[in-house]
Amino acid sequence: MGSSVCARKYSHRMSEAIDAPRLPGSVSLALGTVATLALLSSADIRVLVIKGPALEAQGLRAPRKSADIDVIVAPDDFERALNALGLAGWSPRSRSQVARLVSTHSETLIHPFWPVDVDLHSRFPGMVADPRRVFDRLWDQRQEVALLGLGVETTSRAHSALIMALHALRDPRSSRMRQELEEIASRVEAEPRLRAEIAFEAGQLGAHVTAGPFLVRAGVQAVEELGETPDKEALAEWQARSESAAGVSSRALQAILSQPWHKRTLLVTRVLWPTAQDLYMDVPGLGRTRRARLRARIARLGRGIRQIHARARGAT
Amino acid sequence: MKPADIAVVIEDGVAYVLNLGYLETQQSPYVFEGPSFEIWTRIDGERSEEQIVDELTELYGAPREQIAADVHAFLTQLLELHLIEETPQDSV
Repeated sequence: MGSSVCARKYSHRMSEAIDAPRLPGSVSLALGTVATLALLSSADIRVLVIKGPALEAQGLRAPRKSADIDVIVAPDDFERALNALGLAGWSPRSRSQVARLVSTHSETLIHPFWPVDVDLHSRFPGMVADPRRVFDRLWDQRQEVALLGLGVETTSRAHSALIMALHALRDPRSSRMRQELEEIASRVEAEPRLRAEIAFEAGQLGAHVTAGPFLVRAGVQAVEELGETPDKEALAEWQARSESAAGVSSRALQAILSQPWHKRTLLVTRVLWPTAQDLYMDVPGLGRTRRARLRARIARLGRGIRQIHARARGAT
Repeated sequence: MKPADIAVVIEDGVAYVLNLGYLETQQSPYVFEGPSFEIWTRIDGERSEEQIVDELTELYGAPREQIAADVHAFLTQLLELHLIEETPQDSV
């Protein structure tokens, strides 16, 4: 035999070595997904895979490289899910003050041994019905798909199509997102049965307005019946996303308005004039000089003031 | 034999094995390639350790004693990691 027989573990130490074997992207994504589901299921947490390769398995998008494992749990299970994943080494990725303010629906987790991130969602932007009700509906209609031969539970095709569309609609100015929207719309348009399911489910999930451009493009006549009042936080987050031209600063300011009065001044200061650490997290390519930081801060301050001004004008 | 709660992906002659029942202590996949891949893929609950040794001896043309020692060490390691279970019969 050319080499001795041994079980070689893909460990942190080996992954840092120059000649270390690396997990192929598709393998780490499939095994990482199965591991995430196993950890949460063993803690009695209902969990579903969303986006990524599950969409390919459902025939809703062409194969492409995915970098993250996206899963959704019921809002009431979110903290328990963080703890369960934490026991196996997954920890939240550091985020700036702005990022924490504008994204309250999910947490990105990283692991020293895994080359993929886990995005843990408690709700999905654009689904503005009560988040508990949304999750229950996603769960009740879940289905199993195979990732590299491994079975995982994901949302129904109708729900997956809506998730993909809402994801693309979050940034309609991006050409990639427009392309993704066109892809899912054309696939849905070609399937009358799927269109009918989406028409009903969009209303049930509170996505019949937020997913409007997709529904129109795909020829879906949405059933505009929400079972209950839209969730205020989810609706405000979506509106802030879609109303803001430049996005992040404006969304952060919108989020600050929902905070108690005594916290607002500090938060506004931190958003408009961030710490160096926060600045580098928001703008990873920024030069490491004082001059670069100053220019970035002044630019952000200018954008923030313009957005506050525009918002104030819009309110009058 | 292999327990039910392990996930395996085989690609290009490499087996990536994740022990789902022990994720808190075995947090990442094991990578089996070369001889360890050949042994791993022969653990089917039907073959005996002796049969696996015979097949690898034929495959690699190395001394049987050396292969027998390596196979035994590998299987022991897998048992300790709970990646395989003891079977009442002769098979692994």
